[in-house]
Amino acid sequence: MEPKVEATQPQFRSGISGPNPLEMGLGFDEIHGLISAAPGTGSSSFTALLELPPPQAVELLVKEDYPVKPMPPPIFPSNIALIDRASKFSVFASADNSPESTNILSASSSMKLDLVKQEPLDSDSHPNSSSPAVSNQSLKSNKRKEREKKVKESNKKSKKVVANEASEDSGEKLPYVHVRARRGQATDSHSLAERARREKINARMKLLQELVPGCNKISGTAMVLDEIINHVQALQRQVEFLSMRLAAVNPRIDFNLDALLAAEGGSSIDNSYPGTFAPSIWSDGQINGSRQHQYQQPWHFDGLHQPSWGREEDTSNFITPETSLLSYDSPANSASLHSSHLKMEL
Amino acid sequence: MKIAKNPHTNPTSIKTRFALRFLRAINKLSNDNGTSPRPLNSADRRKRCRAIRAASYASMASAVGPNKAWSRAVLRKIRNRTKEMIKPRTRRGAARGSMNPRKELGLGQEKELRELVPGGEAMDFRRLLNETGHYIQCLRAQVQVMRKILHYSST
Repeated sequence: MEPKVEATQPQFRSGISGPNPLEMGLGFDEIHGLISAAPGTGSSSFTALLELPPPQAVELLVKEDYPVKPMPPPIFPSNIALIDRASKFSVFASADNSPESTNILSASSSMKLDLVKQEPLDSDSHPNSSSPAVSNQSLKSNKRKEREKKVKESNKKSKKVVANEASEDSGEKLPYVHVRARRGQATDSHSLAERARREKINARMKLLQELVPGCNKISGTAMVLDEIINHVQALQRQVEFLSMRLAAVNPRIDFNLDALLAAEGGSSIDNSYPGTFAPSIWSDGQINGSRQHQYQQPWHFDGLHQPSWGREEDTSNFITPETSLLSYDSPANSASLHSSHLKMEL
Repeated sequence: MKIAKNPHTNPTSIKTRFALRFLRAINKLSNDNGTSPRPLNSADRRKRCRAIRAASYASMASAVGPNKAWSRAVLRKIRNRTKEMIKPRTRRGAARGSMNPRKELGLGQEKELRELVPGGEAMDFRRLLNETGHYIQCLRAQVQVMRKILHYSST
């Protein structure tokens, strides 16, 4: 066996070529033979994986909480690259089960993918050894190869988050989050959860970046946050400035709000804001008179001038009906009801 | 994930509602000061300016409604001021307010953002980012409407 091992060793080291299914099957078969003939390790779960039918193997790879049998380190004497990788994932040396299960799985999956990558190498060097007995197994292993490729691609993707993120304040009531670890990253539960959280935060930061102009070129969350803060401060300053100007200009505004409400009737004021605003106000400017008084009458709030509070009672009842508001509202009930009626017509 | 929808494409949108409320508030303000149409001394003008600014924030918050934490915080503040009593704040997020100690503490920006966005103290960071996004959109709409009002009232 030893000479056979050394003979095949250099083949694994050559460059990777495109996969040919038949040859892959052959190559795989050789490796399989090698591994199953590997002495001493007995039942390593990795080889057990290899012997399983393909769907179960992939399922085992995909599921995170697969209860792993105790695993002595599998020996791949013919593959130095694999050994290097095995040493990198030092979990193989330990005998723990449950915390390492995800480690082992991801490691084994990555190792298995290495295996897949290197199979064409082997197959290239054995183009003529085609035996019909192998064809069955090659078919089976082809299917498995494709599934492994899919697993590989999903491995390359960052996350498979199943959690329901549609609601914004679902922050802490996520269902079980399925996360696939990236290659070469720690896979214990804490860092996984932390990574999921960080990714969500990064997603939101990206959205904010699109919202704030000029933030797209900046990289790094600190600078983006700076920009966002500046933007918010600038907007608030603009509001203050505009309110100052409005205070200076203001006294002569008699907007006919009824006309405004009626003229809107379905057209959005924001889309056609410059257009309809002026005509709707000034065309009906004559009907001002009596209507205006209804609004003026008795709304004497001391603090903030909030005629809208009355409306809130009708539309959204989140403000618990406070007695003061109600008492203010009663004389002006007709007006508010009238305007709310108009609003409902929209 | 937060979906960055534009909240102002609806005919009965936030912009419309805000415009209505704000106009009404301004109307009321100017009708209450009916006697002296031009507040010439600076104190009055400043008071009026502050009143208008507060009215604009209040109108925007009431136009947004109780769906957003920041609008709730603004309305709560206003109500506290008018009622002059301290309501017990239901700090829903206080328990997890300190959940993210590790992320985004670059020079206290997170703290600054919390101070800027109303109601930002009692949220976790992810929620804060959501609210900031919506707050920015609404602030922008507010500025646009106010600018238009100014424009059309001065011509």
